[in-house]
Amino acid sequence: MLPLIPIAFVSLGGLAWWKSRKPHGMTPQRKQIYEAALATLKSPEKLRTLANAFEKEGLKDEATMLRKRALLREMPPEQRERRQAIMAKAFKSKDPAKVEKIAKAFEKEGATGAAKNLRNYGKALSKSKAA
Amino acid sequence: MSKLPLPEAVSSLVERARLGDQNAMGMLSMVKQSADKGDAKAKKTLTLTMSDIEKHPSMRTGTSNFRTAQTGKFYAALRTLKQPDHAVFAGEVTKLAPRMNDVSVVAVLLADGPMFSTARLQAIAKTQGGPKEQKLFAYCVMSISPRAVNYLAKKLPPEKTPIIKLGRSVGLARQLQGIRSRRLPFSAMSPMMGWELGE
Repeated sequence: MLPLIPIAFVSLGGLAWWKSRKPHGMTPQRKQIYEAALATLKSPEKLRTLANAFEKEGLKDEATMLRKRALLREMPPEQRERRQAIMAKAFKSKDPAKVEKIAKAFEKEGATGAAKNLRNYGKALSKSKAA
Repeated sequence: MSKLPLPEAVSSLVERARLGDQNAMGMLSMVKQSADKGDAKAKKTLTLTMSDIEKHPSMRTGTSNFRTAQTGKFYAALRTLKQPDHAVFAGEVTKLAPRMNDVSVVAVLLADGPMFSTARLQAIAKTQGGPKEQKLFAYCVMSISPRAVNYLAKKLPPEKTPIIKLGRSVGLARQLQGIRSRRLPFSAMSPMMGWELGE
């Protein structure tokens, strides 16, 4: 029979070592940098550099979002035009549920500012309907 | 800007306080304190306030709904605001819009009305008082920074609040109309949104 106690000790030690190697994740400081980058950073290169740095720290979702934002600027003109037309149509909509759906789609693509503005419109639309 | 008659000013104050306006609540509290100290003007204002509250009881129906009968009346009036005449339209907007707390809701309602052309904006600006008030209105219309407008609202005396609110409502409505008709870029509403959409 295998000696269980030494195996348990070795396993726990291994787990502790693995955990200490694991990145520390989102700290308040990183969150601040991430939010500031979403709100103000416009250079695709800088966005990608930051995405790489976040990925190194294990923040994969944030890194993906930053990369998506970098891609927004590299879309072909036809796609940009189509997105602008969708957005203009969303701001014409009288259906808050539709507005929210479009806001979510834009958010998924990394367009957090457009999604935020659209959501504000959707909220105002709901309130105006309720009034 | 011309001052409102006292009963109307009191009514507006009560309405704002009910909608959660901290300044209005503070002013009502100050009126009560001054009245308790024996100030004759404050006593008169307090009597008018109590009478207004009795005449127009709050119609709150739950925590998420802060509408009153009066609020509903204003919204209904705003919704039907489609005066083709600039001066009449300006007068109506000036009368109705600043009394509402939620500028974005007023903006959505106004955006469905007639287009805010330069002539229309100038007509509204003229109803706001002297050159300073007109400039303040124009600034609030053109500003794309809600923070800057909120800062102004905090720093300027409360008499200017209606101009700021009207300017913000009209400004947002104008942005919405511009975006809908593609006459204005998305960056006119938010530079970040414009960037994200490839402008």
